[in-house]
Amino acid sequence: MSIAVVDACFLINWSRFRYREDLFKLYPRLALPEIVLSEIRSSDAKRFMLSLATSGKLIIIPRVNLIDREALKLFTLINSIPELPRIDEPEAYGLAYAKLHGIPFLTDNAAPRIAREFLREIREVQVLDSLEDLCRLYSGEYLLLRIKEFMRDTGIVFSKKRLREKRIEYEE
Amino acid sequence: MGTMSIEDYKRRLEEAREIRRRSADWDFIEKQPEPMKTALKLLVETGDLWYSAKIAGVGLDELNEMRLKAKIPLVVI
Repeated sequence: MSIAVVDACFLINWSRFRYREDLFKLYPRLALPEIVLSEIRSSDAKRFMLSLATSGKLIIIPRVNLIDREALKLFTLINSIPELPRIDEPEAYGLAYAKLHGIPFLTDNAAPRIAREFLREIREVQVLDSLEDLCRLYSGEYLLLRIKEFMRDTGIVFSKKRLREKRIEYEE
Repeated sequence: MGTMSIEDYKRRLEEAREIRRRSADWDFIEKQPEPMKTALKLLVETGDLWYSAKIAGVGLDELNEMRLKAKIPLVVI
Protein backbone atom coordinates (compact mmCIF):
# COMPACT_ATOMS: atom_id res chain seq x y z
CA MET A 1 0.00 0.00 0.00
CA SER A 2 1.51 3.32 -1.02
CA ILE A 3 -0.64 5.72 0.98
CA ALA A 4 -2.01 5.83 4.52
CA VAL A 5 -4.27 8.23 6.38
CA VAL A 6 -2.58 9.67 9.42
CA ASP A 7 -4.03 11.45 12.42
CA ALA A 8 -2.46 14.60 13.79
CA CYS A 9 -1.15 13.05 17.03
CA PHE A 10 0.55 10.25 15.12
CA LEU A 11 2.29 12.77 12.85
CA ILE A 12 3.34 14.87 15.84
CA ASN A 13 4.78 11.78 17.54
CA TRP A 14 6.74 10.65 14.50
CA SER A 15 8.05 14.18 13.92
CA ARG A 16 10.11 13.69 17.08
CA PHE A 17 11.50 10.27 16.18
CA ARG A 18 15.12 10.31 14.99
CA TYR A 19 14.34 7.74 12.26
CA ARG A 20 11.06 9.32 11.21
CA GLU A 21 11.96 9.07 7.51
CA ASP A 22 11.82 5.27 7.78
CA LEU A 23 8.04 5.50 7.95
CA PHE A 24 8.08 6.29 4.23
CA LYS A 25 9.54 2.88 3.49
CA LEU A 26 6.09 1.59 4.42
CA TYR A 27 3.99 4.44 3.05
CA PRO A 28 5.61 6.70 0.46
CA ARG A 29 2.75 9.15 1.00
CA LEU A 30 0.75 10.16 4.05
CA ALA A 31 -2.68 11.76 3.88
CA LEU A 32 -3.62 14.21 6.63
CA PRO A 33 -7.22 15.42 7.03
CA GLU A 34 -7.53 19.15 6.43
CA ILE A 35 -9.61 19.52 9.60
CA VAL A 36 -6.52 19.00 11.78
CA LEU A 37 -4.07 20.95 9.65
CA SER A 38 -4.47 24.19 11.58
CA GLU A 39 -3.83 22.39 14.86
CA ILE A 40 -0.22 21.60 14.00
CA ARG A 41 1.60 24.76 14.95
CA SER A 42 4.70 23.88 16.96
CA SER A 43 8.12 24.13 15.39
CA ASP A 44 9.08 20.42 15.31
CA ALA A 45 5.86 19.06 13.89
CA LYS A 46 5.36 22.01 11.57
CA ARG A 47 8.90 21.72 10.23
CA PHE A 48 8.38 18.00 9.66
CA MET A 49 5.09 18.64 7.91
CA LEU A 50 6.58 21.32 5.68
CA SER A 51 9.50 19.08 4.73
CA LEU A 52 7.03 16.33 3.81
CA ALA A 53 5.00 18.75 1.75
CA THR A 54 8.13 19.97 -0.04
CA SER A 55 9.17 16.44 -0.93
CA GLY A 56 5.67 15.44 -2.03
CA LYS A 57 5.20 12.94 0.79
CA LEU A 58 2.18 14.60 2.33
CA ILE A 59 -1.24 15.17 0.87
CA ILE A 60 -4.09 17.00 2.52
CA ILE A 61 -7.51 15.36 2.53
CA PRO A 62 -10.11 18.03 1.81
CA ARG A 63 -13.25 18.24 3.90
CA VAL A 64 -16.07 16.91 1.75
CA ASN A 65 -19.66 15.87 2.42
CA LEU A 66 -19.19 12.24 1.46
CA ILE A 67 -16.52 11.67 4.12
CA ASP A 68 -18.28 13.93 6.61
CA ARG A 69 -21.41 11.77 6.39
CA GLU A 70 -19.48 8.53 6.88
CA ALA A 71 -17.45 10.10 9.71
CA LEU A 72 -20.58 11.26 11.49
CA LYS A 73 -22.07 7.78 11.13
CA LEU A 74 -18.97 6.17 12.67
CA PHE A 75 -18.67 8.90 15.31
CA THR A 76 -22.27 8.31 16.41
CA LEU A 77 -22.06 4.52 16.20
CA ILE A 78 -18.86 4.21 18.25
CA ASN A 79 -19.76 6.87 20.80
CA SER A 80 -23.22 5.42 21.34
CA ILE A 81 -21.68 2.26 22.79
CA PRO A 82 -20.62 3.19 26.33
CA GLU A 83 -18.34 0.16 26.66
CA LEU A 84 -16.13 1.40 23.82
CA PRO A 85 -13.62 4.20 24.32
CA ARG A 86 -14.78 7.55 22.94
CA ILE A 87 -13.65 8.46 19.42
CA ASP A 88 -12.79 12.05 18.48
CA GLU A 89 -14.08 13.94 15.46
CA PRO A 90 -10.78 14.00 13.50
CA GLU A 91 -10.21 10.31 14.20
CA ALA A 92 -13.68 9.48 12.94
CA TYR A 93 -12.91 11.50 9.81
CA GLY A 94 -9.61 9.67 9.22
CA LEU A 95 -11.27 6.32 9.88
CA ALA A 96 -14.10 7.14 7.47
CA TYR A 97 -11.64 8.14 4.74
CA ALA A 98 -9.63 4.95 5.27
CA LYS A 99 -12.80 2.87 5.13
CA LEU A 100 -14.13 4.48 1.97
CA HIS A 101 -10.83 4.16 0.13
CA GLY A 102 -9.52 0.87 1.52
CA ILE A 103 -6.28 2.32 2.85
CA PRO A 104 -4.64 2.00 6.30
CA PHE A 105 -5.32 4.44 9.12
CA LEU A 106 -2.35 5.30 11.35
CA THR A 107 -3.14 6.38 14.89
CA ASP A 108 -1.74 5.81 18.37
CA ASN A 109 -5.13 6.24 20.00
CA ALA A 110 -6.77 3.03 21.10
CA ALA A 111 -10.36 3.97 20.26
CA PRO A 112 -10.39 3.22 16.49
CA ARG A 113 -8.42 0.00 16.95
CA ILE A 114 -10.71 -1.28 19.69
CA ALA A 115 -13.85 -0.23 17.78
CA ARG A 116 -12.82 -2.20 14.69
CA GLU A 117 -12.47 -5.32 16.84
CA PHE A 118 -16.13 -5.14 17.79
CA LEU A 119 -17.95 -3.44 14.92
CA ARG A 120 -18.44 -5.24 11.65
CA GLU A 121 -18.96 -1.87 9.88
CA ILE A 122 -15.23 -1.17 10.20
CA ARG A 123 -13.84 -4.68 10.58
CA GLU A 124 -12.08 -4.46 7.22
CA VAL A 125 -10.31 -1.18 7.97
CA GLN A 126 -6.64 -1.58 8.74
CA VAL A 127 -5.88 0.48 11.87
CA LEU A 128 -2.20 0.57 12.75
CA ASP A 129 -0.33 2.22 15.60
CA SER A 130 3.34 3.09 15.95
CA LEU A 131 4.25 -0.30 17.41
CA GLU A 132 2.77 -2.07 14.39
CA ASP A 133 4.73 0.18 12.07
CA LEU A 134 7.98 -0.29 14.00
CA CYS A 135 7.47 -4.07 13.84
CA ARG A 136 6.98 -3.85 10.10
CA LEU A 137 10.07 -1.73 9.66
CA TYR A 138 12.58 -3.52 11.85
CA SER A 139 13.34 -6.94 13.24
CA GLY A 140 15.52 -8.65 15.84
CA GLU A 141 17.89 -6.48 17.87
CA TYR A 142 17.23 -3.49 15.65
CA LEU A 143 13.56 -3.64 16.51
CA LEU A 144 14.25 -3.56 20.22
CA LEU A 145 16.72 -0.71 19.80
CA ARG A 146 14.34 1.35 17.65
CA ILE A 147 11.47 0.77 20.09
CA LYS A 148 13.62 2.13 22.92
CA GLU A 149 14.66 5.11 20.82
CA PHE A 150 11.09 5.75 19.73
CA MET A 151 9.84 5.76 23.32
CA ARG A 152 12.70 8.03 24.40
CA ASP A 153 12.22 10.49 21.53
CA THR A 154 8.42 10.70 21.62
CA GLY A 155 7.40 10.12 25.24
CA ILE A 156 5.22 7.23 24.09
CA VAL A 157 5.10 4.07 26.18
CA PHE A 158 4.11 0.75 24.69
CA SER A 159 2.29 -1.31 27.29
CA LYS A 160 4.05 -4.45 28.49
CA LYS A 161 1.10 -6.59 27.40
CA ARG A 162 1.27 -5.17 23.90
CA LEU A 163 5.01 -5.81 23.71
CA ARG A 164 4.53 -9.36 24.98
CA GLU A 165 1.89 -9.98 22.31
CA LYS A 166 4.49 -9.01 19.75
CA ARG A 167 6.98 -11.32 21.50
CA ILE A 168 9.23 -8.42 22.32
CA GLU A 169 11.29 -8.83 25.49
CA TYR A 170 11.64 -5.32 26.82
CA GLU A 171 13.52 -4.46 30.02
CA GLU A 172 13.14 -0.92 31.40
CA MET B 1 -15.76 -10.51 17.95
CA GLY B 2 -12.10 -9.80 18.29
CA THR B 3 -9.53 -11.82 20.16
CA MET B 4 -9.86 -9.69 23.32
CA SER B 5 -13.01 -8.82 25.21
CA ILE B 6 -14.14 -5.30 25.97
CA GLU B 7 -13.32 -6.05 29.62
CA ASP B 8 -9.72 -6.84 28.63
CA TYR B 9 -9.47 -3.52 26.83
CA LYS B 10 -11.01 -1.68 29.77
CA ARG B 11 -8.39 -3.22 32.06
CA ARG B 12 -5.65 -2.11 29.71
CA LEU B 13 -7.04 1.42 29.52
CA GLU B 14 -7.15 1.56 33.32
CA GLU B 15 -3.56 0.31 33.56
CA ALA B 16 -2.53 3.00 31.09
CA ARG B 17 -4.23 5.64 33.23
CA GLU B 18 -2.31 4.39 36.28
CA ILE B 19 0.98 4.63 34.36
CA ARG B 20 0.19 8.24 33.42
CA ARG B 21 -0.79 9.12 37.00
CA ARG B 22 2.37 7.54 38.40
CA SER B 23 4.73 9.04 35.83
CA ALA B 24 3.35 12.58 35.84
CA ASP B 25 5.32 15.37 37.47
CA TRP B 26 2.48 16.76 39.58
CA ASP B 27 4.51 19.69 40.95
CA PHE B 28 5.18 20.81 37.39
CA ILE B 29 1.52 20.40 36.44
CA GLU B 30 0.26 22.36 39.44
CA LYS B 31 2.60 25.25 38.61
CA GLN B 32 1.21 25.71 35.10
CA PRO B 33 -1.18 28.56 34.38
CA GLU B 34 -4.71 27.86 33.23
CA PRO B 35 -5.89 26.50 30.86
CA MET B 36 -2.72 24.39 30.44
CA LYS B 37 -3.00 22.97 33.97
CA THR B 38 -6.49 21.66 33.24
CA ALA B 39 -5.43 20.30 29.86
CA LEU B 40 -2.57 18.34 31.44
CA LYS B 41 -4.79 16.93 34.19
CA LEU B 42 -7.37 15.92 31.61
CA LEU B 43 -4.66 14.26 29.57
CA VAL B 44 -3.55 12.21 32.57
CA GLU B 45 -7.10 10.97 33.06
CA THR B 46 -8.09 10.38 29.44
CA GLY B 47 -4.81 9.80 27.60
CA ASP B 48 -6.44 11.59 24.69
CA LEU B 49 -4.31 14.47 23.45
CA TRP B 50 -6.76 15.95 20.94
CA TYR B 51 -9.73 15.77 23.31
CA SER B 52 -7.79 17.31 26.20
CA ALA B 53 -6.48 20.13 24.01
CA LYS B 54 -9.92 20.83 22.56
CA ILE B 55 -11.82 20.83 25.85
CA ALA B 56 -9.25 22.99 27.64
CA GLY B 57 -8.75 25.31 24.67
CA VAL B 58 -5.01 24.89 24.10
CA GLY B 59 -3.10 23.99 20.94
CA LEU B 60 -2.66 20.33 20.13
CA ASP B 61 1.09 20.35 19.70
CA GLU B 62 1.52 22.97 22.42
CA LEU B 63 -0.06 20.43 24.78
CA ASN B 64 2.18 17.71 23.40
CA GLU B 65 5.27 19.81 24.20
CA MET B 66 4.01 20.46 27.72
CA ARG B 67 3.07 16.84 28.40
CA LEU B 68 6.67 15.85 27.63
CA LYS B 69 7.88 18.39 30.20
CA ALA B 70 5.22 17.14 32.63
CA LYS B 71 6.45 13.56 32.03
CA ILE B 72 3.03 12.31 30.96
CA PRO B 73 3.53 9.34 28.64
CA LEU B 74 1.09 8.49 25.88
CA VAL B 75 0.50 4.81 26.50
CA VAL B 76 -0.18 2.61 23.50
CA ILE B 77 -2.20 -0.36 24.75
